[in-house]
Amino acid sequence: MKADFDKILSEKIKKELSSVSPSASNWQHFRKVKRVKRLKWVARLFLLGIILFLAIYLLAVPGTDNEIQPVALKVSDSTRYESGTAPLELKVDSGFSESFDIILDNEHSGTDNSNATDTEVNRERKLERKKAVANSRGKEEIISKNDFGRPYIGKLPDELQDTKSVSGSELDERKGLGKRFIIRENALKIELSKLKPYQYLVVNDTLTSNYFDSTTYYSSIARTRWSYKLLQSFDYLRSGSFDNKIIPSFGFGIERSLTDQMSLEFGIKMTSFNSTGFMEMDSTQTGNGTHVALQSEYHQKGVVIPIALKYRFKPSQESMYFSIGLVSSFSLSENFKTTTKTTDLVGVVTTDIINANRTSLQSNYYLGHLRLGLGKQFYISKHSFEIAVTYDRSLRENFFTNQVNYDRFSLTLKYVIGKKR
Amino acid sequence: MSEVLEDCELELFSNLIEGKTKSEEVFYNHFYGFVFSIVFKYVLDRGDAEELTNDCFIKIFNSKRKYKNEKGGTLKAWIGRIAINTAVDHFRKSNKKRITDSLESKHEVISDGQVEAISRLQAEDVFEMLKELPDDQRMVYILYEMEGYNHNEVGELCKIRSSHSRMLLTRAKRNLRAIYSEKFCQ
Repeated sequence: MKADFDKILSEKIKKELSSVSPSASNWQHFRKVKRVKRLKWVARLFLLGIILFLAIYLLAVPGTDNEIQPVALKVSDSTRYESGTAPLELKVDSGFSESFDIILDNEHSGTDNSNATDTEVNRERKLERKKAVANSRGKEEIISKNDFGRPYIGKLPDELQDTKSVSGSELDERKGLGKRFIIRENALKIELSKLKPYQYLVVNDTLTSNYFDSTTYYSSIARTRWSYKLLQSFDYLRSGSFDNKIIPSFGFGIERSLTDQMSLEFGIKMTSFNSTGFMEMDSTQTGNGTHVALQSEYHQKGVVIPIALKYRFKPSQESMYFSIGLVSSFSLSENFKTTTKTTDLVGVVTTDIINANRTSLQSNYYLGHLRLGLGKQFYISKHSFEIAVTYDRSLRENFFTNQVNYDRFSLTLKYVIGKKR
Repeated sequence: MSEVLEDCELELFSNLIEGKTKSEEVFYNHFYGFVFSIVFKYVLDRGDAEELTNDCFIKIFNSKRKYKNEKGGTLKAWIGRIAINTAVDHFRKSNKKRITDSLESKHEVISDGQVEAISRLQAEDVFEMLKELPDDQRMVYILYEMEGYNHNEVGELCKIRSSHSRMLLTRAKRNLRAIYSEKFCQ
């Protein structure tokens, strides 16, 4: 009896359920729902970003290195100062920590004391040099003739520092680097009038003499420790199968400086439909020179290894850098949409122009793909931020996404939470 | 006739993949009723069913490229699976309702007359009976009795053991008998 009942009831339920007439479809309502859901996604990502930011901030901030106060130099790099009446003031005016090189050069600068004979000048030089060394090392020391004429690198002689006039200034020689100084507090005043006729002072702003790349967000400013990066971006795709879509993404990276000129970075970038892992090893020379970057990216369906070689140079004494490079990319596993295993070699011509205000303009071109980017780096407290707008135009099938003829506008906000930034 | 319709639906789908103008809207309007009727069985409420139907379409549009890789199975079957999975996920997330003692203690006494009376039940009465079932029992009952899944498949879908699925089905049937006796045989 029960079995019959169950069977009949089941049939009845099936019949009634199948006879339910569906509600009328409402496309406009669906679009609204979709938009709300996407906004929720964006909000979630944003919230996650904030939470991570706060977590890392709390983890990263305590520590001895963070005692360094923000300093921004107002000197152009490699400026040479000779004896003069006005003291040189290196001022703090906006929020980031900085280090710079001060080289007191005892070489003949061409501003000889014209009243003195060569012998007198030489004798005076020798005497002053001995005094300077004695002041810096706290003991008497005879300098051999072989040392004569070489740049003096070391602690700035006390008589050149007017520490009384600016309270709290402190010069700190960093170990291992020998000639790099960090201004710890408000400002440093150097009495140029006390420079000897044959002495001059060279001040290098290590920020502007180091490399800054807005795309890879590489910045080598006295890097000796860990730093953390958060990336939040919104891509607007105007054509292709992502027609008029806004795709939010969130990334997190951690960077370890191996030496003063080499770093290693790991990270992950996630979007609502894809995730990308990346690893980057970067080696650069301070100042002008070759910049070599080895990068690898992991995508959900493949590994792509771009190898970049860039040469950076300064066209003039202006604090502006220009670099040109070539990047090759190898796709080691199956391509995304075609699911075919390929080994692609993509040539990239890349140019970066970065000026002293940390505004960067970048262009990339590789086999039918063009990218233009404009970035601005700024500092809040000890932390570095960058906002960048990028325009991508794929003129043929794109290497990564297999999209044909698509336009993409990206708005990216990056934070770097680190020490000595 | 059905082959023609299937070809037509596949064309709609290929338009969707290619990202043609209005393809999403046309696809949505065409399959809305189909998806709605599947999810309605699980929620038995028009408002909830509409919400779940929209969720299904978001999933379909987001994973449309995955269909290409699926061997065998028609487009409708694929959409149906997404609809069922969405409904099951919805239950799993919100399923806190457990079997109540009062329901368990009810006695079902079925007579011949009562069996015959089933045919006189209105649609609302049937839905009311189903709604009285605990969520997990209702889900297993519909998956097994209405969709034709076996206990292993039900277990996989609901992330439960097949023996648990059997137990839930037995309880669902017993409870339906009890609810029927109480509501319609007094």
